[in-house]
Amino acid sequence: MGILWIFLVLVVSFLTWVMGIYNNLVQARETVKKGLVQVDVQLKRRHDLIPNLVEAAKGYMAYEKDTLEKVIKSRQIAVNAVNVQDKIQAENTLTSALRGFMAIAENYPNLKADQHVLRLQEELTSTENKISLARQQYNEEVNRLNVSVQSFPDSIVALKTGFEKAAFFQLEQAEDRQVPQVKF
Amino acid sequence: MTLENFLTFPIIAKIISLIFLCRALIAGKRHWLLDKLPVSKTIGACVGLVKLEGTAETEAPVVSTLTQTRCVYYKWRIDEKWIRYVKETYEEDGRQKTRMVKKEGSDTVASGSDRNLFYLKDEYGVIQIRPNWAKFESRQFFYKSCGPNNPLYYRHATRQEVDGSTHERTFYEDGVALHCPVYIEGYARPRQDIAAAEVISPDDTELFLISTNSKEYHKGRYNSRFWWLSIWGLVFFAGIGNLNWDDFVYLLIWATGWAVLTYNNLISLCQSADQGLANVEVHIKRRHDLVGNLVRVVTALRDFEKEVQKEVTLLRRQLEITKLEGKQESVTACLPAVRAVIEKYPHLKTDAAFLDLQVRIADTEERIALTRTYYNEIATTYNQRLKMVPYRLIARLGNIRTRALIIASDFERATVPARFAE
Repeated sequence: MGILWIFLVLVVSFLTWVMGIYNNLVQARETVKKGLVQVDVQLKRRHDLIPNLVEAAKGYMAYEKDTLEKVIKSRQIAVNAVNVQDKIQAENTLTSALRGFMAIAENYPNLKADQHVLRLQEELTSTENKISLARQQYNEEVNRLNVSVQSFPDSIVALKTGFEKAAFFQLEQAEDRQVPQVKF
Repeated sequence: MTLENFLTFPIIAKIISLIFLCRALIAGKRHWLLDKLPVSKTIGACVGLVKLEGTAETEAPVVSTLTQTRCVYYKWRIDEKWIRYVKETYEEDGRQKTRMVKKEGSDTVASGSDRNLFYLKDEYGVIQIRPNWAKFESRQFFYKSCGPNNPLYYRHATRQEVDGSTHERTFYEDGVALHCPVYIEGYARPRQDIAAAEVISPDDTELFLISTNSKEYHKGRYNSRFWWLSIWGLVFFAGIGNLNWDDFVYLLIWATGWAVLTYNNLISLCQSADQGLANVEVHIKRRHDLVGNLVRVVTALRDFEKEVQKEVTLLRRQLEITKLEGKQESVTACLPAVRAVIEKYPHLKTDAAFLDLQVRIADTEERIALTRTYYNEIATTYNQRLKMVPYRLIARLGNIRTRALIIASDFERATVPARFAE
């Protein structure tokens, strides 16, 4: 009777131990999946954010330029106007064009085109930093899973229950490896 | 039961010895890996299990209680010495007797500690450290013993003295001062709020260390722990004085455990090397995605400025011509405004963007270089292990291969001339 009990205790503790290993493996695998999703979140953020930021900077540049062009054109008209009626009208156009220009200059003294661009550069960099951090975190999670899958005795449980090593982040295209050409 | 009886008592001693063995194997596990990892910089390979060196910096330091030192962590304690006479019963000639025994000791009458989130700064940048649960190895700020004549005596503790006090209090304080060089072992992960990493407590809190000692001081610490625990295990297994054949069972179990541990350690070192290489790829991908965009943005700004300058010049010339002709009185009404427009573009501003671009490209390459260095260091450690006895045998059993280092191609080794003319 005593021997049977000892046997039973041994079997139960063995099963609990194996279960623990299995659960750890499951957790590691799920964390790797989460890591991949986190990278996707950052990639999606980049996809949604960057074109809009570029558009905003571009739009601002166009606005600044257009206003300036309008000032020049209406001044030209005012200069060339012959009769009083034309002159008054041209003067009004010029005044409103200038007012538009001064409005940007006064309301956003710091938000000029170059500021827009500097901010865009900062945002581009921090976006890429976020992506690379998420990828490094993914690599860390892959590391944990792979160590569990390969190290003894977890490897036996992993083999029996079909756990596999995950792949680290790797460059898919050879061109990604090229040093980007900085040319103006 | 005497100690010798206890040690020779078979089952308990053997269970204790196995517990020692387990502790030894656990001590060897992740600590061994940490021992082998190279020191990271705050940019580059800085996610996962990391070792960092730098100085402790913060905008909101805590101020220590005893010495008013500005620091990121401190703990203080006041001990008071006492002498007490205690009644003790003893047996003599089969009769119970009592006597008074003098006992000395000390009690802590006051203590405290505080820590705050801080930043580790190295030559490349800063990284946030959340020191909750960290084990500190700090530097002594203050140590002094004094009597009640000293005004310090009552300053930080109650006037009430302990039973049997000798009226001598000892003040201790130590901590990690602001700007103090620190060495950190911990787990880094990306921050939620900004694009940066932070060091937090890993699952195994024993691995989070903030120390004012250098990294050399901590090197090999876990190795000695492993050997001491193993030897204690053997002592418990064998007992004292009588070494039997079955003691070799312990050695056999120990040897198997060691082989498994070594194999597992090699696996984790190998994975860390692969991870290092994958992190290099991450940074190369970052360069590919980032630099092209930055260049395009700066180009766009340059083109824009060129156009605007052209227009401003036009406006300026227009102004001069009309002024010379002197017949456009009505237009002069707008002169101040037009002048303001011209003054708004005194010179080109693209230079700031170009400077910024240079800094960012340099930073990108720095990150790649740092991750490559990290990989090369860890791969070298790993390759060395694989060639050493007895790791060599285990590596052959487990079919573990060496990893190639990252080296420069020949064209990259040549000097780089700064060419301006095409």
